Amino acid sequence: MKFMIDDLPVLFPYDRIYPEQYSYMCDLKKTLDAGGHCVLEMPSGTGKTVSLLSLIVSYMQFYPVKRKLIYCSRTVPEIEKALAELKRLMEYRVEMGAKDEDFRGLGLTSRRNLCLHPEVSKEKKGKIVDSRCRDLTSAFACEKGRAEPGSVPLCSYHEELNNYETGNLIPPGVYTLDDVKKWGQEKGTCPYFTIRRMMPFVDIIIYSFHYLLDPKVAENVSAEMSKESIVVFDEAHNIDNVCIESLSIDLTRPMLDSAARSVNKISDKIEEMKRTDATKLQDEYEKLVAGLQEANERREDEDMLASPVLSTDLLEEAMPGNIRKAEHFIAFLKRFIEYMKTRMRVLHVVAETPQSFLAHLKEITFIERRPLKFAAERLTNLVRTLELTNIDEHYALQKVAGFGTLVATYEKGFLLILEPYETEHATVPNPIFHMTCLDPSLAIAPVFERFSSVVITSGTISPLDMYPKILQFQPTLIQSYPMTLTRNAFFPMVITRGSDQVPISSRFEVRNDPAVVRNFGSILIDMSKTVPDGIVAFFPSYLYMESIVSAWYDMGILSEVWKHKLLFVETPDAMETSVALKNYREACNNGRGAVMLSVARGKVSEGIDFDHNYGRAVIMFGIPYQYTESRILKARLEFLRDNHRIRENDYLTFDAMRHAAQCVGRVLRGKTDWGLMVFADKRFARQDKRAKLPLWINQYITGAHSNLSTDMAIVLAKKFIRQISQPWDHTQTGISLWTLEDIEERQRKAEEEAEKGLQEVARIMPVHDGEVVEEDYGEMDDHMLADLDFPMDVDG
Amino acid sequence: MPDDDNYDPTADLEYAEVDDDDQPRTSTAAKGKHKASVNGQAEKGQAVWEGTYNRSWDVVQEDAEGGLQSAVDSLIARGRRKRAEIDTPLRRSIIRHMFIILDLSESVLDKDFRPSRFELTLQYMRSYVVEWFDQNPLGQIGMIIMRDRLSEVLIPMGGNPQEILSVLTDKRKLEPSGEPSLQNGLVMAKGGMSHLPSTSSLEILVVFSSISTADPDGPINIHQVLSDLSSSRVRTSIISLSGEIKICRQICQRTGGKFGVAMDEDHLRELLWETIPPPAQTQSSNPTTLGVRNALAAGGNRVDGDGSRPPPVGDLMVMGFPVRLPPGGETLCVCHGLLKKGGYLCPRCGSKLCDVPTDCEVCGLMVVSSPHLARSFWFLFPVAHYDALTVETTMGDRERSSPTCYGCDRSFKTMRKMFQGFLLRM
Ligand code: SF4
Ligand SMILES: [Zn+2]
Ligand SMILES: [Zn+2]
Ligand SMILES: [Zn+2]
Repeated sequence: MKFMIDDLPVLFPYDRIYPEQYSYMCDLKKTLDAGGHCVLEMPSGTGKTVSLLSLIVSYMQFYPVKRKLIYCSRTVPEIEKALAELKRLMEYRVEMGAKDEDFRGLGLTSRRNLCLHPEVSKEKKGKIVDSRCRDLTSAFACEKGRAEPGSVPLCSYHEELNNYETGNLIPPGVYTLDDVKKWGQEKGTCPYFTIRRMMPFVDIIIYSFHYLLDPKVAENVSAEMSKESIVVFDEAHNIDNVCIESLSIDLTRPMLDSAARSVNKISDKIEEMKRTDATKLQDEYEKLVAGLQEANERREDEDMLASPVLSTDLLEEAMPGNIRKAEHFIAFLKRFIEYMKTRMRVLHVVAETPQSFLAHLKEITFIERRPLKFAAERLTNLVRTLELTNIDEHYALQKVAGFGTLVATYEKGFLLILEPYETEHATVPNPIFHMTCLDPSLAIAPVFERFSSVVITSGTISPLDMYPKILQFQPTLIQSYPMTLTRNAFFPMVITRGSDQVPISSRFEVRNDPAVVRNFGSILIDMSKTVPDGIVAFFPSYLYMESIVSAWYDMGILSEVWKHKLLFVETPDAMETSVALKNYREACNNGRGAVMLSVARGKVSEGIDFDHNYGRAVIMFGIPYQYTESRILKARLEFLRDNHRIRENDYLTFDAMRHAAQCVGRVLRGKTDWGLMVFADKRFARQDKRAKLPLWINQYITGAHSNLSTDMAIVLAKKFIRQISQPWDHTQTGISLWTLEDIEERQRKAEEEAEKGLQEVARIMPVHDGEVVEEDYGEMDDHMLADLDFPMDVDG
Repeated sequence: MPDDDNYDPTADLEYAEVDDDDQPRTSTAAKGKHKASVNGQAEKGQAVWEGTYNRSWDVVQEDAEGGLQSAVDSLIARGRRKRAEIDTPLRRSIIRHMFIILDLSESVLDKDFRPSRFELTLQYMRSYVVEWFDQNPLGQIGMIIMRDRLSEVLIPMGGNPQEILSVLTDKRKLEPSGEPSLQNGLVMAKGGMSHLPSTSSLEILVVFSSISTADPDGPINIHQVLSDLSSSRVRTSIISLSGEIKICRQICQRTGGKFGVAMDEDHLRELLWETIPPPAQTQSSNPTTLGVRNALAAGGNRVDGDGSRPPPVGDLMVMGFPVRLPPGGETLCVCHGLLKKGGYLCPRCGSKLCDVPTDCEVCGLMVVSSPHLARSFWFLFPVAHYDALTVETTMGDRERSSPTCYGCDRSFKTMRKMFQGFLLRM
């Protein structure tokens, strides 16, 4: 349907619209008009993506300013879904007569998902695909291969692209990832490079967060995006973690060993080159002396060679003298690696700032800060000069160099932590050296600086004001939308105690108390007797899940559950989990019913939808607090407290509740869906916890359902399930589904109201505006005016 | 009530009001005259506690979330009206064969339906069967029970309600245990009907209490059973006492049956009773009318037109009216293989049958008595769509109005009273 928001005609590809979609679009428009950033929270399953796309596309196409949309999502399936939605929207727009002939929309993902090369595409690991592709497509390979065909293997898909005109590698239109692959297969062109090279020409690009936030790729991929672009981060409730991860590097012993081997190999290579082709090295050296950086002419084959620091922090200076010569640089690296190895021998935890690390480094090895800063870049230069192939072999070395660069570049907001043991009780050391970023705002700052409108949105992004604080930006709008339902399709409830009245909680002191474990168990038993088909249960951590499941086994709780449902467990192994999920789904389809035991923050809680019969109830056992003994977390908390004035406890609760919301949100994927949300922990009853849940969930937790014992909860659940199972007409319009008339009706009312408000204002406070005042003045009798006691300086 | 201090005061207020509201419900529960259980005191105490508990809770809940209950109620009412309004001519089957599958898993011991799911189901079943045979005199019912992941035929297909009633009263044979296997139940029912002509309506009614079905791992799964049922047109209806189970809903949808979830005792009864009137036949898209001769030659049995497709339902069929034997000496019957007094003789092959209506064991002829047939017609000619008139409007025209129905000569009660009033005054 087509309707107006202010002066903007919006084409929406369905003839019904949810009220929350409408308000969402209105608010989006406001933000775009104002040219600011916003945080929006809209319930899952209410068509957030389509509202977003249809408003922004309408906006882009209606106003003369050429703007692009950069839409970031989390996972490949989500990207694919968004592309399909966009495709549908554009088809609809064409049907409605919109002039979108030249419109282009593409999605980008890694080579591993797009590669067509018969051998390369068979590789399982992304790193290897990238590296092998690079060997077939790098500038020097192409040069050689084209000069004397057959001397160097090239990828025909890549070569074929040369026969196409720049900027028109694929005709205008919207393509899903699959579509591009199909096109590539037909024409013999490489889908990955088609998309990469088309990026400057597309109107909408949909890709994952990393392409914008991770400096290692952002610089190469997203540099050409214009400032007017609209940036959207969808499913952005974890955006701060993505930011932090993109600026953190962990090193381990095996990595250092592998880096040392790489250095030796490269050193051999240098020797070899000295003998055969010494001019090349000399060239490189001279270039570096002249300070000619190749950075300006970045090449597309270098995603994996890029610097780990933000482009704004890259120094525009010449390479320091002591690492310009290849062999000097190699010696430099060797020293650095040796130093790191000695550091790793320490058997107690060390936490230090980059400054103190550098000071110590200098003392022992005489490595200065400045050359270290250039480590990553120098390595890139060298790899290029040596024309190295199979660079995935040198992955660890890159990491080490990146580590050095990061340490030398940043002073504030970072911390180095050496943890000699993996877990508290481990006896065999397995040291990890973390260079961890503490400040999520660092990685995203360039995005806010560069683009005028950034939209951060998710189904669960409460409390909304936390995000501007931790990401350090000024939103023009933050908004959470309630969910309008004609029937209460989901039923959140808080179980605070077992049927025996013993309070339940995953608090550290009581979590292994047999009474608590038993009560958690009886919730699961009773729920599995009451709820049809699928149940998903979440635990705060793997460790806790393991201990509780084994306790349940001993108590005979599992065999009791087994009578009613099959049991599946999420493991850290992705393959195992996906097999478990497949069987889980099957059991939900054939009436056997199943319980999926999983972990908050795990794969299942983030990416898997449990719609309809796949999830009729979700049980949150305990509050998914982070493991607070983690040193990295402690450091982060400290940083947030000192720099952003966020109290530790506030942050921890915020983080726990957003994951809880994310977990329970898994079951409700649309308005025709229904499900129970069980929060099993007495602390959920507290207002300070619940207030941090998204509005659309919190809205339905009534006082009576916020403090239940297990038996009461089961009675309520039974009743809810029977009622919700009654046949229902989902097409009812008016309340939770609007037709065009409903929208217009509403707009008229809003206008009337606004007008009334205006009149009201005008009446009490005559404006210095000729006509309006005169009219109002006429309507008011003197008596009234006297009563109002207003300064009478109005010149009618 | 445990932990009263957790309720907010308003909730308590509501609680006080509930009791009045509660009356009709309690009486429903009391209607089932079955004594709670053998265990007497303890059981009873618990039942009382549970009772107040549930009820009060019901109301707090209703109040708190407002919409749902009333919305559901109005929806049910709307559905009822709609059903009453259907006035398109339907083709109904009068020859029905139905397997009732009862869930006798442990889950039926749950007391959320009063006095318990088990007691209530049996109690309803007894009246259901009587009512069913009353309205479907040519129909036959068999009963299958599911427990311990197995299914067993409790009562084979037959037309005698007394037989079923006597089995249903004998609770020793009906001890609930284990989990049900819906797949086994359906396979057994399907097998029990495989010999029946497709001219009659084949039906399965499942009263499903459990929340899940524990089916065997084997070469076939429940989805195959489902396609089997739907290809052989066995209309399967499931009434769940627990909630919407995906597979159950699917089975009902694909086989043309109804799926319902009982909310309380009354609603369960309503859902059950909805299955009593003969179902409307789905008109087959191209009615290949069989020649009468063909039908006769086949003796009412399945005639496969071209083999690939089952013949259209509800065409001509052959029936025979039996000769009734005097209740004299004992002879051997073909249906049970026992020496029995009385009975009927098959008009085609002369075998002795104990009861009608039935299908002759020997020649397969459908043997019915004429009164049965006559009664069945009742549903074939349903009352036409009519407008309800009030007594007042008809009273204005005294010439035309009469105290009795012109069609059946039954007297209108209210009319008569009014007439009496007139007469007295005159
Ligand atoms: S150019 Fe494309 S098709 Fe060829 S190896 Fe690289 S990703 Fe694969
Ligand atoms: Zn007999
Ligand atoms: Zn016979
Ligand atoms: Zn009559």
